[in-house]
Amino acid sequence: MRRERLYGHLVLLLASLIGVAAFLYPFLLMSGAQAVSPEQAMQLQEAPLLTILLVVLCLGVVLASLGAGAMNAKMAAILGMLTAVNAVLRALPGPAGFSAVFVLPILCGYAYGATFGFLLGALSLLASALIGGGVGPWLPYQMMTVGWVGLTAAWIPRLERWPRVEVAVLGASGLIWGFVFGAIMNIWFWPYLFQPQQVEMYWSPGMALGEVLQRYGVFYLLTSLWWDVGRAVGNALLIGLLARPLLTLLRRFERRFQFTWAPPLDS
Amino acid sequence: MRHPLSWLIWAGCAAVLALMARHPLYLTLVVLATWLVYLGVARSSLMVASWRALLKLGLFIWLITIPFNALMIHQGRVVLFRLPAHWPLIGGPITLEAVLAGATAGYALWALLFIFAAFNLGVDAAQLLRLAPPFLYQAGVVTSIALTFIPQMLASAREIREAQRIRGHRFRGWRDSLPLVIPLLTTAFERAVQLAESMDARGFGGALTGMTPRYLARLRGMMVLSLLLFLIGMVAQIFWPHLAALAYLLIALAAAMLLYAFHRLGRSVRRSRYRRERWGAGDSAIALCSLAALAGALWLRYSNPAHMTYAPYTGGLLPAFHAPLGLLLTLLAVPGLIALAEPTPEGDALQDVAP
Amino acid sequence: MIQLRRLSYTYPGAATPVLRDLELEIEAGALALVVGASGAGKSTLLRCLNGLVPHFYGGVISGSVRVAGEDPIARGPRQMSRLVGMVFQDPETQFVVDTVEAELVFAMENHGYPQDVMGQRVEWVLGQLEIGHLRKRRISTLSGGEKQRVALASVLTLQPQVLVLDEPTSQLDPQAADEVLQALRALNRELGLTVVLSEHRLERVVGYADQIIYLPGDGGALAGPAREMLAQIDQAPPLATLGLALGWQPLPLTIEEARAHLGSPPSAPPQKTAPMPVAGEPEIVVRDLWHAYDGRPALRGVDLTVGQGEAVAIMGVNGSGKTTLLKHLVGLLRPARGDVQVRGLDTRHTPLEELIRTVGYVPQNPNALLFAETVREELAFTRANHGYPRDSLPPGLLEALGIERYLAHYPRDLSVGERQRVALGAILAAEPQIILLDEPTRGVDRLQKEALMRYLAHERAQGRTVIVSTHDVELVAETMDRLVILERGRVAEDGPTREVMARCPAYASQIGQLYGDPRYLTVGDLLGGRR
Repeated sequence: MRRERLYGHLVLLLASLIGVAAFLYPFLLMSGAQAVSPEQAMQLQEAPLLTILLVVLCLGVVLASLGAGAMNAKMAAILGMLTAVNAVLRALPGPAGFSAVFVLPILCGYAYGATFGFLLGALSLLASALIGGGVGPWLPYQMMTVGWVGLTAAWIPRLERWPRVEVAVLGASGLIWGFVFGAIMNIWFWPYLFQPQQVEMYWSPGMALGEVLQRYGVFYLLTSLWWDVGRAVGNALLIGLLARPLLTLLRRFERRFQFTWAPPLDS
Repeated sequence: MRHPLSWLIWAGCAAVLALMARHPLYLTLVVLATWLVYLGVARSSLMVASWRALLKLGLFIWLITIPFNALMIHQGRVVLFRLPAHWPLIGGPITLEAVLAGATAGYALWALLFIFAAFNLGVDAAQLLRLAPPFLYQAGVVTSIALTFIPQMLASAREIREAQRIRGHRFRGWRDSLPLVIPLLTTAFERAVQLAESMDARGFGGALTGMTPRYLARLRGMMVLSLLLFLIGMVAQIFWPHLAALAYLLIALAAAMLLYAFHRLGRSVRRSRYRRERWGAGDSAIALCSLAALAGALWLRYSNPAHMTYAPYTGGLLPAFHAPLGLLLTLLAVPGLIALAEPTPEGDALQDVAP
Repeated sequence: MIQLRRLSYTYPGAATPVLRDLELEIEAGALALVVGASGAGKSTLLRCLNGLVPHFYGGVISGSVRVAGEDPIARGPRQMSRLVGMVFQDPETQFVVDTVEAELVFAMENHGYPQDVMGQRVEWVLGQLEIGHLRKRRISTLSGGEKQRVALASVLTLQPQVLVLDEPTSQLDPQAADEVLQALRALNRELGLTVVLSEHRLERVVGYADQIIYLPGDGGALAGPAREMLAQIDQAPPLATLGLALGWQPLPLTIEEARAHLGSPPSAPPQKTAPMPVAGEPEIVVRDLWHAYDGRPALRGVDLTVGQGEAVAIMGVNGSGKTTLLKHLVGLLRPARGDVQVRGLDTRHTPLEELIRTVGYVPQNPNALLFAETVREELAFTRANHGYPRDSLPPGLLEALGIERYLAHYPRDLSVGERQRVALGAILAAEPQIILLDEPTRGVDRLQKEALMRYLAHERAQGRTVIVSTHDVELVAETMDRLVILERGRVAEDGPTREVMARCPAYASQIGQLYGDPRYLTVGDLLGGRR
């Protein structure tokens, strides 16, 4: 069992690293370069395609790997139902960019573990896109990111004995993820705008990685900060409000039905 | 409706082409082809209104991108006007080339949006899910359950809201959402348990039968290793371009391992699949045409990339046009022509009878 | 076909076993009815037949079970699914996908059947249950009865030998329930399937049953032919109770059988019918009420006046507008045309917060209300919302509802009837003068129904007005003075219960249908209190 957990985490970690590399690929390509060769220009133009391909691949690996542990009917049904609830929560309106889609992945990831958290996050975006007819090139990024939200929540240590601290930490992660999510969503958008000849917008000959990122930071501030503040603060507040009763509920059902782990494989 | 796989092939090829051929004339061809397809599907879909709104939003964003681009880039010969050079980022000459380049970039994005609009309107969510490969079976089941129960959860949410209101609870905002969220989640759990019983009672195994834990661990190890190789290959390719051949080899090896692992995982899910959708001649036509267009474009990209890009800064203000590529792009219109030639789909489509 | 020997089972964490040394035999091809009070172990017993107990729930089991020669305890539900098909109570939570055809193949896919076999079985099962016209439909658009038949079809594709059903009709209205039971009967007769089902409303199904299995609550089971067992159980349908009291042999199970005994008029003179209580001042006045959902009219010009202290029942098929009418009375819906006056307040101009001080509406699904950790907190929540001190309660409320014992319990752990009464308490904690109940006896057993009826009598005695929307004719016959029948959004009948039931046999109680006489509606009418 420990080995299973270890493999699970390794896969997730590597997939995450690849995802991060995919996002940073354009920056990396240009940092330190002196001029844009035609081949590099074409590579830059294809950066978004490559990124999507890589992210989809990572998603496939993680989903296959997590699902490959025996999933019995209880876990599938509970995961499915909570995914449905999360998709509904996502559709509820809120001010500027706020969507309550982080609350359940964070709390469930914390209470039930990384597998549950990742699957809940990623699949609720998928379900919400499928039912709303909103499948688009942004979907793999959203799935990966909200999956990470659920996954990282499982790394928060057990704080049951200090309820106030627990709620504060969970709320803080909601806040942080609100901003990170926005930053990542911008990254997918940004390479599409990226024209090979226009590297000047983000890059001058000889610019190092740090400066490239700095320029990107400016772009981010100008375009989506307002939206992300709404999302970050909204999620943090909502978690602050709901964490305790929801955690009680989640733990109660886990005790009753014991579905969060690996039933023995069929003999 | 058409088989969802042919839709996926069409959308994929069209999207890749829109991004590769970033050139106003080619893009226009792609958009026209997509428009034909869109006409074909918009007749019979219920979500046209929301997509139309999104497309309008896309136009709006495009219009914003143009001045944004123009203000940031200061290259080019035809100067429209000048801003004081000491202003940060936006100071300097504002050129026509920058405007044109920005317009093209936004155009490409909007074309992408349009392609996905047509895709979403033409394909059915449930059918799309059934395309999921066997190694993703568990994730597919979970998503299927979620799709089935989203309407019920919405109905429950409404029911709960009513019930709490008649107890005197006022919903003034998210602060008062606790009496809504708690019963909603509890109902979700209770329903889930009932569903799980029904699934178990019908033989839902879920488990990967016939696979020993050791073998599973080995497959996982293989996937981990292949991801590692991918990472190394990618990084090597960037920082040590002279090792490019080795990097590509690593990547190819990683891909092969991954595919093998996926294949074995899929084989171990002991389940059959009931195929309801039929792959028809129309589907073959769509798939072949889309793939042909993509193949042609790829060949062109590797043989003569200059034809495919539009470079107002260096290559002149007017875009060049390579006729064979243009012809290939028109192949993307095939689904639209097929859809328009058919009578409004009846029979095979899922009937929604009002409850 | 089915043998249980010395079967004992305890749920995990429970103090006492639910089943204790239970012995039972069911023959192949029989239609067996399992009856017993809530908590007596009916669901547990049924789940032992396909292995869900103990594989799904855990716990401790001992004794032996044999179904069609196999041992469910050893095999588990997955392997038993080819022999035993199980259908559950709630038509909403048995489907994994949204299309009928895809759901029908789910079970077969799990077992790896090849494509052509799956195709054949789908055709066969659609024909067998006569649901071919539903093939391409989305499940969410089907009615309750259609959904249950699709659930039945989906387990039938594996061609099991035994069908087990856990209260399959308790969430359905009478017409839908009838469809499902007819289908079951056909399967039992034509295909020779052994059918084991549990049911609270015995009168629906006792006519078809070969065998009744009674769980008295001590962990054991008594079984025997239907007529013999009816004499022993305490939840017999009215016809059987009457037949037993009057000594009719053989005991009638259906109205047709009872008519044969009607030769002589009843021995005792009819009890003087209690005078209809005089209605007080009109409390609710509905004038020409119209309402439409998305362009489809639900109410078309309803006129209704209810006086203070009256007990009114509203009946009608699903979709006739009963719930819509009730929601108008509490102010959840505002009239599109016409008006509703409640104690002089016009619902169009009065905010909901004010209306709910006078009118208490208990919705169909008590689960929508309950969210607190304990029953006490549920009641306190309502008190606080209305501005009363949290821990005060209307005197006598808990005792009248019979829920004093559950004050510290988690509400959702209680049984259906108890939850119903807690929901009632949660609404009545605001001390409204008018009480509206929407389907209060759905899925509730006889004892709990009687507790509810006692409570309603208590409220009437205090001068409160009670309006109940229901399908339960027996409840109406025993407790409600006035019956209003809605048909397609209009009031079709409105008058004293006895008269309306005599005029409309479709809505009459069993005794009422038997005699067709307004003087005889319940067993009590005939026996004058002797039982």
